Amino acid sequence: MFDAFPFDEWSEEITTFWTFGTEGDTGTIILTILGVLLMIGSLIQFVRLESRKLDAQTAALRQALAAAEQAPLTSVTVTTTTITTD
Amino acid sequence: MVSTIFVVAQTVQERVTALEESNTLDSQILTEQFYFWTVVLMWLIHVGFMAYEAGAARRKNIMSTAMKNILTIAVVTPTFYYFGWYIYGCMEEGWPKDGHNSPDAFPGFCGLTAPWSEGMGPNLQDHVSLVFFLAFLLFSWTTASIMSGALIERVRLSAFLLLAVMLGSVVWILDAAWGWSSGGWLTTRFGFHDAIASGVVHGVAGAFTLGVLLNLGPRIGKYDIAGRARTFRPHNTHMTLMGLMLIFTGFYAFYAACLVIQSTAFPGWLNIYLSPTTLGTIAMVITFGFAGGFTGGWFASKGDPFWTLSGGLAGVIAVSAGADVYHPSLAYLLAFSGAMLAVWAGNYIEQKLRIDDAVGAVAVHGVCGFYGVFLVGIFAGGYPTGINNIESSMGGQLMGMMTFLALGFLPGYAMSWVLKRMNLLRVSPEVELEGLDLAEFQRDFYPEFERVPEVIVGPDGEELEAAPILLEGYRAVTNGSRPAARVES
Repeated sequence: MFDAFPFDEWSEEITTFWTFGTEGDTGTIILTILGVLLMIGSLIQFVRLESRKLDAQTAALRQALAAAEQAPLTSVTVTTTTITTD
Repeated sequence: MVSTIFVVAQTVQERVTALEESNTLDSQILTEQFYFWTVVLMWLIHVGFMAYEAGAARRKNIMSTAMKNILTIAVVTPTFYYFGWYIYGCMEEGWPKDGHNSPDAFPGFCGLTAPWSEGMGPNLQDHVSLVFFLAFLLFSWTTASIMSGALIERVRLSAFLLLAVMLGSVVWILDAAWGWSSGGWLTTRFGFHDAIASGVVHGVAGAFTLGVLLNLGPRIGKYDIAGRARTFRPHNTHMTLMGLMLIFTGFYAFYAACLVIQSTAFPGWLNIYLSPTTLGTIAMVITFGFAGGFTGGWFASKGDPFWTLSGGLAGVIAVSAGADVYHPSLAYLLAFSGAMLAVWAGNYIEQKLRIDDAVGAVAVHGVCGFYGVFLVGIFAGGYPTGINNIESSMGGQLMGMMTFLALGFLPGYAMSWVLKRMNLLRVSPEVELEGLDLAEFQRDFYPEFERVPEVIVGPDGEELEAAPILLEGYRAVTNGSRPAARVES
């Protein structure tokens, strides 16, 4: 089809030439498994990392509220919100 | 003489063969380019959703809202690659398996959808599989983004991401296999017709979102003791409106990507069921859908800017199912009705059902998505759909609606219920009150601007200082265990 460099041979003989093999090869399967592991691991870590952050912030805020509860008529500043007991 | 004729004939034959090969390659590369550019333009949908939702959020929740849209891409892309696409390629027949009697439009398609197959990596012989996958991937992001806005300001980021995986890489693509493919059982048996995905994308995402919202609950302060709805002021309405306009721009590419074009295999443009249509037809319908939608949204909401633009989206969604066959005037009329329905449904969901859908996603996408499927039963009944040429009918459309309603709602409800039981669905009331950005990112994202007192719009329309209302809501959530207090911003 083409007269120049052997493009025909490329497209016919090297249909799938991937990083570590061709389609369905062991190398490709291993890459797929590694990708799936990263996918699952990242989903788990999204949950764990966020839980740590939220738990820490919640604990700090509850501590601030408890302090406000024990010190009537005083102000406690919680980062950006001032909470004042009546 | 004879030998000369033979040589000439042979030469002509060789040239014709070469021309055919060249023509096929050109056609495939045109197809490849077409889907590639739809993918590029469909990114605007996600830019738009991010701006839309971040603008609708209060200042204290901007980045946590935007990050949902960004990380949607991080989780839906690999999950859709590793198993979502396989669901589409291999589960078209679904249930019941018998009775299809359909020609195989794409022989071997199932095998090409496995992540280790020749269709899913570099392949010099295949110019179509990967861009086709990418177009569907962008649809998957869209389904997750539809849910995203409804949950803002109280859902955990990680909970949203898990729900996005379920919706974007399992639920919607399973319904697409059943009712949005040439071999789907809803199409080949019942003539189900949803050309540009009113129900398949929008309706199902809306139903899934409704299930999640029932478990998630409203934002603190959303409802007063009498159950009347208050309104939170968006921190940047301009950003929200610009986001919607970007979504609209991307929707043209979404529409185009719903068609099939490969000139050496099919005679012109086809819809997803491989029935003929044209690009101009659907472009006219989406344009008149916006026109009718804006008009309906404006009048139904009495000129509310948010609902006017959301009405445009609702209008388009209402006409998408029949966009390949509707006349522009019909699209204009139906979109007008769809937008009005969205406004009414949105108010009903918020005020009567007391479900806090922050951006009206259930009304705009869910209600209008199913409305669009229903309309095809009325206005496009009898139109032959798909490779079996089954006529569209109200029965077929209702079959699809019932299937998709259950398929969308139940997984959304079940998964969010499990997350709620594990205390992974919602942030703590303290974090919600303070704002998610400080907990998630430890910073304010408008540091150069003075922080003004937050206001909230009461049920009667008056603007009120938000702090005491939010604290009252907080105390109610925590069962009155907190001291009587007031919050000053």
